[in-house]
Amino acid sequence: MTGTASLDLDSIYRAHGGWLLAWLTGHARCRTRASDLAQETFCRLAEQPALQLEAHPRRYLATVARRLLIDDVRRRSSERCFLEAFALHMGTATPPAPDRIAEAVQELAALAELLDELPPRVRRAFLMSRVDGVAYAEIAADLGVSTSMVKQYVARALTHCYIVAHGCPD
Amino acid sequence: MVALTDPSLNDPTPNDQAAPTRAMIEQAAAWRVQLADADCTDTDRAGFESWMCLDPAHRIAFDRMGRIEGQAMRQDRIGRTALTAMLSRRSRTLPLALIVGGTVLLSRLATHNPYVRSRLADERSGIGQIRPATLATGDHILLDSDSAADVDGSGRTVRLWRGGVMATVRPGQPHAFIIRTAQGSARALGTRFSVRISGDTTIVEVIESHVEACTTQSHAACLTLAPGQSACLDARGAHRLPDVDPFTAGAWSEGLLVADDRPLSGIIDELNRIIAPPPSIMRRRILRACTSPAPFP
Repeated sequence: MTGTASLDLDSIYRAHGGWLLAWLTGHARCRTRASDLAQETFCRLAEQPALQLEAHPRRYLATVARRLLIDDVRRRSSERCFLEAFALHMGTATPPAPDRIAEAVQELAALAELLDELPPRVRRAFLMSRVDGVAYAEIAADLGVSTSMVKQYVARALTHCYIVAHGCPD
Repeated sequence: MVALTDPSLNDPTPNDQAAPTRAMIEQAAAWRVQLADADCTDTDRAGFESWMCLDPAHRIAFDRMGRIEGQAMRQDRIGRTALTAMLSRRSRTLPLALIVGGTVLLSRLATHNPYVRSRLADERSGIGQIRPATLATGDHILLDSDSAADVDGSGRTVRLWRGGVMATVRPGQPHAFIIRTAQGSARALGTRFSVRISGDTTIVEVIESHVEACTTQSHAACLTLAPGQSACLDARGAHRLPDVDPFTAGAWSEGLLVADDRPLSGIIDELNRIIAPPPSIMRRRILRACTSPAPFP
């Protein structure tokens, strides 16, 4: 980084660091988390080739911080879901090591990302078929539709997941 | 089907004509559903086989979808419960996230989210695993530890999502061989070179012949690299790095970690990348402090 850029970052930190921390504390409702996220925000900023925030420094800082906050909220929420599911099925057994939890949570979060926008019945048909291994006819009885409709639902879910993950040229 | 003669190399969206079309994706889904049906007949299976042979893009769509399906199918009951909870919590927290996120369109991010893409890539290697792959054209790529890449139907473009890849490309082919990352691309006609993603930068190292390394930026910058030369592509452009020893640069592909006057920090980083430490070691308590036997200068 050039001397001018770090000088800029330094002055931005001095001028707006306190404001950003207060903004984040208000949104994250936890001072430790807020100061972690504030630090992360400035780290991201330091990676920028040219700081283009002279006009609206606070607006820019808030945009970066907001994105980090959303990621953080999602990650914590996913982790909570996993630990609750573990406790539900395994009782008081020792939970897996943190790296295993992180791995499982990442995989589940990627799946949730793919399935997120599907209509509830399509998603339900997909989960019953592919995760629970239930036959199409049984899913049809459960949802009160025909077997061929269930097959259409599952195909629709697969198509949707593919396009979210890999895109589609047309 | 292949059109990589040279559309602008700097185009951040590859001219990926071999990518499966929407119709092909829908057909792949229909086949996956039909083949999993208990009522699937021999006629169905024969129909599927001939569909697969009709176009290489059919197989790409079918295989990619299989990996997504596989991710769902390997969930145990803990994963299933967690997934259901995550999905219902997502739909509850989405309005909140949108208020917080303003105009950020979360779902649109997924398609280009390297994290999602790297978990579903065509070729993936685990930590500590070096994985060879032979492309349709007969060229070879070698995925370094903890890497992920997609290969297009023509076998001439590799999209690296995570980690590193070494390519050994046969000379004298009509179309350039290209490895792309978020930061740029490396293009070669018959050569051996490696591309690695490291944080927000891409590092290109040439072992044999020449490679053209370009950034994806609109004001694209390109460097032509000779054997032993290395470059870094990032948001600021393409920069030359100090020359590398071609033997050391390719050492990982032979399963070697070469250290010749390197700082310990770099070696530790590299070890971390190739070895997943068993949790028992990570939890071990250290009781003794050691001092360096040699006095610091």
